[in-house]
Amino acid sequence: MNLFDLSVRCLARKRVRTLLLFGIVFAASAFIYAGWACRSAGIRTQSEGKRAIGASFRLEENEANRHVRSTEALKKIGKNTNGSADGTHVEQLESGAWWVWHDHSFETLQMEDILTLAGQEGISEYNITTANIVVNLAGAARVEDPDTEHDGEGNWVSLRGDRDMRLDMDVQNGNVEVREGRMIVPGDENVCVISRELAELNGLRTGDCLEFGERNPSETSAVCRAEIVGIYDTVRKMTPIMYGDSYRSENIIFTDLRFPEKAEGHEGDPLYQYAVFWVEDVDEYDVVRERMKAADIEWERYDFLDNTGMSDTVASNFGDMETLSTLLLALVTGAGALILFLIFLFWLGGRIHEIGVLLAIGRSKTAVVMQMVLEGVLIGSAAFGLTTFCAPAVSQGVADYLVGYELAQEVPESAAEGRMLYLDEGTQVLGVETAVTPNVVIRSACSVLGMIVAAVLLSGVPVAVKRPREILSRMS
Amino acid sequence: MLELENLSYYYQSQKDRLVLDGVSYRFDKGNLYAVLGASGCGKTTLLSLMAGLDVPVSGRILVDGEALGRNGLNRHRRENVSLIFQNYNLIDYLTPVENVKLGGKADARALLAQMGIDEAQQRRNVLQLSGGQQQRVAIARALAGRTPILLADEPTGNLDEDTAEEITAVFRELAHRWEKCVVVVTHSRELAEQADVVLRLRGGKLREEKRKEESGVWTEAVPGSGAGDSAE
Repeated sequence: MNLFDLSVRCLARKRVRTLLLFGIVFAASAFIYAGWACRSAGIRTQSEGKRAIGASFRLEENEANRHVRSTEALKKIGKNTNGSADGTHVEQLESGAWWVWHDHSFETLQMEDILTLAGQEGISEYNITTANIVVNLAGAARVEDPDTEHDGEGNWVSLRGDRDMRLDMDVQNGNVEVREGRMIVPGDENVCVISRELAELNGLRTGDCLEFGERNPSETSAVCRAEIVGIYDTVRKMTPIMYGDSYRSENIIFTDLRFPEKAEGHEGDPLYQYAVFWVEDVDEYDVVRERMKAADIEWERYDFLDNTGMSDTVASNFGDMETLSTLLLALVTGAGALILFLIFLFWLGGRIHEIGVLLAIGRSKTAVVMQMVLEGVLIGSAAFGLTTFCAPAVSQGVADYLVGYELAQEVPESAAEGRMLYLDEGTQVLGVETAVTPNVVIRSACSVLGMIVAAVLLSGVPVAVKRPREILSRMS
Repeated sequence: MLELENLSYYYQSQKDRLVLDGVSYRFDKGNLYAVLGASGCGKTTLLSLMAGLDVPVSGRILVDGEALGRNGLNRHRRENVSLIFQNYNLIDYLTPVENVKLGGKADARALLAQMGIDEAQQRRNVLQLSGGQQQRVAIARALAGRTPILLADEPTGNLDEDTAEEITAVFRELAHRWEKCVVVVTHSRELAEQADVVLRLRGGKLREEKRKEESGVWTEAVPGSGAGDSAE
């Protein structure tokens, strides 16, 4: 009779014990499942201000993740130290104050992630738009408000790089129309499209060139030239991102994707602010969304908005959700292991007779402990299998609770305690999505297995350290 | 068969008191040995050492001329010796057949039948059997391992007189017909009378008290002659 036969008979014929263990492992497994599922939950938010238009999706930087990366980079640099790490820079000013800034490599969307999403089945075309880059316009005047003081401000304008201008948000929204020349297309280099007002102010036409330089040019600063390939008319003024003439609608100059970085003297260090992906078949919109969400990119870095403004925020970017999930996992696994350990230890006293017999007939102590492990694993497997059916519901319930808890703690406390819950004004949490993926199942299975094996092995220590005769003498 | 060579043992809590003091003796197959002695004199300790459940402080145990090593004790218990206890020590969640199978690969049902356990009894829970029947199951389990040595610790201690007699007869049969070396630690005079050799453990020394000749006549060992005494 081998270990397996013995274990199965023991479990089948000591039913009360088996059922009790089953219940404990079942409950622990359910919460372990929930913990793992919550760590990868998607929190569906809706923002009034931000949304993709038409049958498109919009990818942009996630603010919470930006904060996390910044904190990690600062840790790498060290406290009160000049230095740089992962696109974050720390400098001590003459005044003694510390200045922290991030370069484009820190802020930009990752091109490989954009290309991965653009390559998904169902996506017909895509556009990448850079952040507004303020540069100095050389040899031409910008449009200015005569009532505004411009002390300290140069002849600055905003450059906006587009991979494909036709897909720019303001073009798609109908804010601007190109009625003279053409728009910027993929593959263009050193070209721009300027506003009618700017063209008229400077007597510019398509085919002319404009020169741009750094915002605060030095003697060594280079000047970049861009050919005007089109002139746009403003139907509705584009909303300036900041106060000042540098950002006013008429002074926004569309360029090819890589031009702004050259103009500001950072060639090779682009700052892609968002990317928009258009769906080929509108009826397939939801299917394509799920397909894109399954793409293997660094999702923590991004918000992914659909045309309703809904975005799936990963748990790690939603307040302390990930921390709470981890805490839940650790607590349940630890408590489960402790309870199982105590139960096994308690039952070990009742099984001393059986252990003595097994040792007397020549079984090794390892075999005896392995039988107990096998019993635990068999119960665990059955309980875990059953839990798998309940896992989605339990995970959803726990995730809803955790998100509700986070929201209840939201603004005042998060501000006071420095916790991270970045919800823009006007953003609502619509719900939580947990998925019991194969990854979650594997991780949960490993956790449950680890919990059982640890509990049984620990409770088996008294057997392992005793001589067979001592065990037998306890029998009589 | 099984040889004890200058075996000494003390409990860790009483290192100044030797429970076994240079015990030497040779047990041969085909004999039923009865080890007598007062309570606490070390009979069970002696049996534990012979079974490889514990290790002596000094001296050694040889099986067929080969000394037991500390690492070979599990194998020794599996291949050389089988143990039978006063309180039977059957596993309660197994049937008699399964208990016997635990002991080895022999035909469990046939062994049980030979021990007088019928088919209906074989299917019952072991705890539903009488004391004598449980002891028979325990003996069948010991036989299933097909080991040449049987060690029994007070095997009739919990049995009534008639059943004890039956079990004693079984031991005699195992020694004489099955050619086993059967060593029984006991307080029972009746059982000792049925043995081939009676040994007495006293003051840490094991001494052969008497031996039964083929004619059935007991030969008393001569004190001080050295024959059968523990080696000095």
